[in-house]
Amino acid sequence: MAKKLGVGVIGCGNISAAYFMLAPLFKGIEMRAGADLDVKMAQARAKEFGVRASSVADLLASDDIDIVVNLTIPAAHYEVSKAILDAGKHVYSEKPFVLSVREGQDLKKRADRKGLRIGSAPDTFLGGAHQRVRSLIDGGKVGRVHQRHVLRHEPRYGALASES
Amino acid sequence: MEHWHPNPDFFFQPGGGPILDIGPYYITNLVQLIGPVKRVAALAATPASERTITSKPRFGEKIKVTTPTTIHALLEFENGATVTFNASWDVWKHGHAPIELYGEEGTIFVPDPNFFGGDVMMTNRTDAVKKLPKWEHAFAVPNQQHAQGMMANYRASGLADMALGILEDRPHRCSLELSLHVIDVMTGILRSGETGRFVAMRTTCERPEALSPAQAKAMLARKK
Repeated sequence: MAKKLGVGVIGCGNISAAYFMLAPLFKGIEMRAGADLDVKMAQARAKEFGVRASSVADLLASDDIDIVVNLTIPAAHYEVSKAILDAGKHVYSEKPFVLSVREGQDLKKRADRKGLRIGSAPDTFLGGAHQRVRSLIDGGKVGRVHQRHVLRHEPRYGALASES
Repeated sequence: MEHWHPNPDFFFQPGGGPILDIGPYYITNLVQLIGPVKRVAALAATPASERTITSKPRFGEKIKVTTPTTIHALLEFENGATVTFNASWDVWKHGHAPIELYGEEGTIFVPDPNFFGGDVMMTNRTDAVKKLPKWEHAFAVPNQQHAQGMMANYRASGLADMALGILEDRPHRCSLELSLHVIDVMTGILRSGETGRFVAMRTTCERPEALSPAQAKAMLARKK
């Protein structure tokens, strides 16, 4: 059997369902535990997806967890990622990764010291549509790109929600 | 926002706002397509100082807005490309494509980078705009039922790529360097909105390696 790394989640809110549901599509990872300050949230997700519910402290001390996914609110991202790295685990964070460059550089130092990895969402750019655009650009299909126009307007009401 | 999230306050406080909430999708995609950013400038506005919650259970409650909800930004990339980036939670309807990319020989219309799939449209010079024929990429295959129809959702692919990177001793694509640079760009946009000055980036990064159709397919677990 191919080797897999054990994955635990801190923050069992809305977006955690997407990770628990979609992770089994991929090689290399196995979802094993979920933790949340609200124990009931962790228990509900654990039951739903057949993993174990855990306290944050137990999750960070677990030998079978290699990577911890940080799905807390943006304002907590830095402190939680710091705790994950200091516990000797790789961290993968939801976006936004941190709220300042200084916080990010501090996490990098902590990770480098222990030889750990840091990763962060979004990963939608790995999607077929965006990789296709990448191949068009890299293949010179529209020549050198000199300009672009990007717009993101969120309708104030009635939009389909997809985030946290 | 206030029409769907049960506790939408944080969207309208510092740390929220459309740049930090939705900006990562757009700016990360720009950096993977074009490369790192050199400097930014922005105008920021708060057209509504108060929002009314229309989701349950706090229907009718008012929220104070303490971070800009409309931002017009200019980005200059290290390779010289110039970009207009516009994000707002104050617009009812608009007629713009999510991303339009202008090259010397043509234009590419890029679908919403909040999603993995979608139609890519392209034109060369004066040709008509055409929807490109299907491209066989594992992470474009619709796999989830949504209100708009079947959509491709491969969230956690970045996590899996990191795990495989660790196991195979190679770099991962959703890297610290990339996300830190995106934070630099977004916080720079907000700072420029406050100060009225151009902000130079303090970080840079390499473009993440492309993910070819063969590489994407190789990441998928075999179906049981």
